[in-house]
Amino acid sequence: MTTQQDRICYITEHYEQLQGLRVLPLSVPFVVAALWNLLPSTKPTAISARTVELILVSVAVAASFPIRAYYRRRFGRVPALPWRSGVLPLVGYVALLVLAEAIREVAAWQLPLPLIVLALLLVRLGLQVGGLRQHYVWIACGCFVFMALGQWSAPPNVRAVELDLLMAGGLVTAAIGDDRVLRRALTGGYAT
Amino acid sequence: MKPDQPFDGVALLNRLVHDPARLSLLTALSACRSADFVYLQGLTGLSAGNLSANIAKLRDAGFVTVDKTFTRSYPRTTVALTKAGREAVAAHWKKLDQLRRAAREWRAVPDPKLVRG
Repeated sequence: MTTQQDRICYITEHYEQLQGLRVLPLSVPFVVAALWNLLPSTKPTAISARTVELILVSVAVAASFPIRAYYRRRFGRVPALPWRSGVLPLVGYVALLVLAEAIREVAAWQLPLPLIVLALLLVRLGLQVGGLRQHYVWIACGCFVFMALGQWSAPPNVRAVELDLLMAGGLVTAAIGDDRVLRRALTGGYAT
Repeated sequence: MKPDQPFDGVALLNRLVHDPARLSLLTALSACRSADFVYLQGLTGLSAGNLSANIAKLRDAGFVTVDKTFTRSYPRTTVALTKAGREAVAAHWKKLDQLRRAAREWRAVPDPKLVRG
């Protein structure tokens, strides 16, 4: 196939996954968690941080449905082929991360192996189809920066803030990047 | 196809499939179960009339099916590839790959009648 046809095939196959704005609300719980950890509070709060996080994640998941409806209204519906829905690769990636963590624990390595595997998977995703989703390479760079910061033996609460900011930044980058890829593909016209 | 004349194969390509707009449509449809008209229009950048005409040609050839429904009183047109369409796209890409390979291996043989001196 030519590059143009490859892109058409990829965009259509990954149409649901490229609806980036759907994951944007998920970054909010991580920003809130980072702020929660940043602001020192001595007063006991009525609700725990875990409860707030759970509520925000539930709201973010609920918010993804109207955003999906917006994409359907704007660009139409494209049901994926049953064997190409993206579930199998996702299960495979999760299994790979679990395996990486198990290896790290058994070998008692200091090296954050799951994060390295995740970063490599993101680089692979970013370089597919001529770098169509190259914003994932930037997220992978963020993972490597996070790993490098870990060498400075920062206190656990600072590491928690760093991790929350990495997650939030990664989700925002993925959301906006994927949305731009989809919007460019569906307003540019690949056949003309 | 003779091995020394790979370019002759270009003439044997199915014109119905090889047209850029229709090839884009068929490629997109081969990557999903079905697609809305509005999605195909955005992806190909064709006007509604042009897209309709191309879809009609593919439907007449038995490569796609067109389903017209109403969703909340809005008309919705869904296009899906048939088994014949899927086979036609696969055969077309196979043919193109063969042509590409043959063209890469092809070497021009000078005609002795045309060579002077």
